[in-house]
Amino acid sequence: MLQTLNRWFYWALALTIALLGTAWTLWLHQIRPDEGVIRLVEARFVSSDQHEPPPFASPGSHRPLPDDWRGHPEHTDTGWYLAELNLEVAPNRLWSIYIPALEMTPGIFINGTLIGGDPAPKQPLDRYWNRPILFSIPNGLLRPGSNQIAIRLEANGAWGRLSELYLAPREALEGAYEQRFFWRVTFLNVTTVGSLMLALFMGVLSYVRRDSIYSWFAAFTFSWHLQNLFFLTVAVPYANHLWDFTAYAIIGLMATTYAMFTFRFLGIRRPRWERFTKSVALVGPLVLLPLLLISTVTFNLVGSMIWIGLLLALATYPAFLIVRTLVTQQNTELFFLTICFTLTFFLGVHDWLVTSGLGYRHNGMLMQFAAAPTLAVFGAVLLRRFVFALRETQTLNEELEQRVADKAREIESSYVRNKELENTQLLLRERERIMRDMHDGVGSQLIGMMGHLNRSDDDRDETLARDLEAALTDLRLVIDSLDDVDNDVVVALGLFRNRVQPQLDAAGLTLEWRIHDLPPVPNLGPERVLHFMRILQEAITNTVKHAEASCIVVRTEGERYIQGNRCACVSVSDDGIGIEATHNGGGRGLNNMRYRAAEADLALEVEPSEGGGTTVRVGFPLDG
Amino acid sequence: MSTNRSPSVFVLEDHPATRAQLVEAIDGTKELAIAGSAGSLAEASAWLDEGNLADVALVDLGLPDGNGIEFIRAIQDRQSDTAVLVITAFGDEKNVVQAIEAGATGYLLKERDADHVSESILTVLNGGSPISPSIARYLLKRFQEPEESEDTNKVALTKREEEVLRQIVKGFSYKEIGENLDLSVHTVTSHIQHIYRKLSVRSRGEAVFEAIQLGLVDIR
Repeated sequence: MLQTLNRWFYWALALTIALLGTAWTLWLHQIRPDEGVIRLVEARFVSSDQHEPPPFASPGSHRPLPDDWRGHPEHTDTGWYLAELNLEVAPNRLWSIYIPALEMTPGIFINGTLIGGDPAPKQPLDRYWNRPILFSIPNGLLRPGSNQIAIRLEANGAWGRLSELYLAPREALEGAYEQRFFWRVTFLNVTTVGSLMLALFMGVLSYVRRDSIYSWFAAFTFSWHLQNLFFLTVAVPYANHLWDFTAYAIIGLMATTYAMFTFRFLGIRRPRWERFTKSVALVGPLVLLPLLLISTVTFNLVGSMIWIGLLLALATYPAFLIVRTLVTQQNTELFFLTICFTLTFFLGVHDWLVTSGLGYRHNGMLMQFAAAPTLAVFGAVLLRRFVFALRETQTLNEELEQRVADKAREIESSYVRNKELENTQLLLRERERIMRDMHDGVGSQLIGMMGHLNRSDDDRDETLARDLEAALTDLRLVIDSLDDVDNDVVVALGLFRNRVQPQLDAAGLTLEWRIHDLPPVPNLGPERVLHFMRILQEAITNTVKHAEASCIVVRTEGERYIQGNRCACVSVSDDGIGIEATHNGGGRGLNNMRYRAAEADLALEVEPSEGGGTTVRVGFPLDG
Repeated sequence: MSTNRSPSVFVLEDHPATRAQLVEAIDGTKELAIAGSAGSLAEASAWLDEGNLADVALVDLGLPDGNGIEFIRAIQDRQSDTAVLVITAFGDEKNVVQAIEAGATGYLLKERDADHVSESILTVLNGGSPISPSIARYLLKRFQEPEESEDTNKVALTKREEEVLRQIVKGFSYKEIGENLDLSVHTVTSHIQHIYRKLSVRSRGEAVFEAIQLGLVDIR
């Protein structure tokens, strides 16, 4: 259905969903404790690196909370917030202080007693910048009247901040704290582990598929996984400014792998763009590094404003390509990807504004919230493609197997054909050899002998000459039967007539040749052809010798049932006295014909012709 | 062929009794005269070399000193209007077709009775061309084969010629073919002659093509 929607509406829908996602992410950070909770929204700031709270009356500047050090004129790394809490009565149960956001390392005192954090932190500083803080206030510490709250904050590069403070019985604060903790820490933990697993899985797929789209996605997912670690790590292994440098380098890696993957995903080749993006990702951090020699403030300003801004701009081009493709192609995959990218883009812009000091810092960084939907959607899309490819491979394999099987059958049948052809060739060669022998030997001898006998006046020689002639005719039939008749009875009939016509001419008999095409007869080999010709020869000899006929009709009768078999039929009829009237009723000749028919698997019928005479019918079974 | 004398016949047959029978039969026919006879290829060649001529030559192929086809070629080269009939015991296509390719007009079946010999010779002299079903079948197959040479492309059978051959394969006589295809016997006969000529031309074309392929003939 999506395909039928107006393409701009389609895109607008994706944009709206991304906006709603952004709004929802922001809303998550607005959750505050319930009514009845004390919310402190102002404090005095004392710029001091002491490890003990300064006297409450120390000079300082008035600061509304939340407070951002980047607005301070002092450019200090350490300072104290002093706030006053007035209570009418002393609490009779456990109270806590809830700080939704701060940066970087706190030490919290109530009425001069340390209740949490570290007021004398060592470098590298622990990073509490991405998690809420909830510390319990020991019973008896809070008293009726004025209570002094002192919070020491230390942050490298004058980068500190403190949100508003909430004080209340612990159970009144736990809900808001846990919710914020879930989204800032637990959810991010899950996303981080998930992205690592997805990266590994895609790495395996890229190895299996040998397709760079999977490798780039694995790299993108893994760089996002690393990026998340910067939000989660509290105790860093090396100096904070180098840690920040690592984070900037990894964001560069993320932007590059994202661009590379998108180009591959859309099947677009932009070699110059790709080279440029890769160069920026490599060179950018190297340019940032010397700035540390100037100051961490400069380093962080350039890193967060210019570097992140540049990467955001670079990432806009692939995002634009996806949206453009969505507008032209309107496919469901692209629809969801557009939502995710737009959401990532909006949250990325938010983070850039925050790190550049142009936005409200106390919600923290938000782009990591786009990781879960984006990676999930991309993962699903790639997995789907992979499954499709697998299925396609399976189908292709099946087709291939089918083709191989077909080919094997073809080869097998070709082999059988070749074998048959070989046999035919063998037969032909054998026939040629016999023919040669006949010409040079028997045939020549027979003809020569006939020549001698014909010139003799002896009656016995005349008989001998007739026998010789019959032998020669039979020999010719044998030779003809060796011819390959291509399973065509009519061809055999043609050969037969050529041999029998002189005999009929000599006997003064008329031959009517009523021949039409017959269906092909299976397995019509030389032996069957010879039996068939000899049956016809026998029938004709019987007619010539005994039937007192004047005419013989040879005809093809098409398909007919003889003795229950469907046969291609040929008949020989005469107009003589009929078989019953001949002196032995057909006798030996008939038996010969029956014997030959049985030998050659032919059907045979001998019956009186209509209007007198005899009909001999030979049938070739057509059904094997 | 001269009109004021009987057509002369030369007989090349190695079997003495058969040769004698043939010569006797021809001699006994007043329309024909014997030009000569030979029992071997050498004798026949010598006869030819002496400058002798014949209107018809009866040639046996299996000779003690060679193949009669050589003589057919020689006499065709010398005297292309001599009608050559191959003497064969079986009328099988192998020998006959080879002879026709070499220029023979037809074949003569060896029979007990030699009466038909003169009749067959006179038929040939009158433009007839004997053909058997097995030869017809061979010719049909031969002309269906793809031709190797472009030069022989034009040497194909016409539809009518194919029809005539198919009828012969089925055993029909010239007269019956004439009735079946609504043609005169004479037309059927001349179709057969054309077919024989085409076979001869085609064979020569193929021989030339083969020679070119083998580099025996330079066509530049």
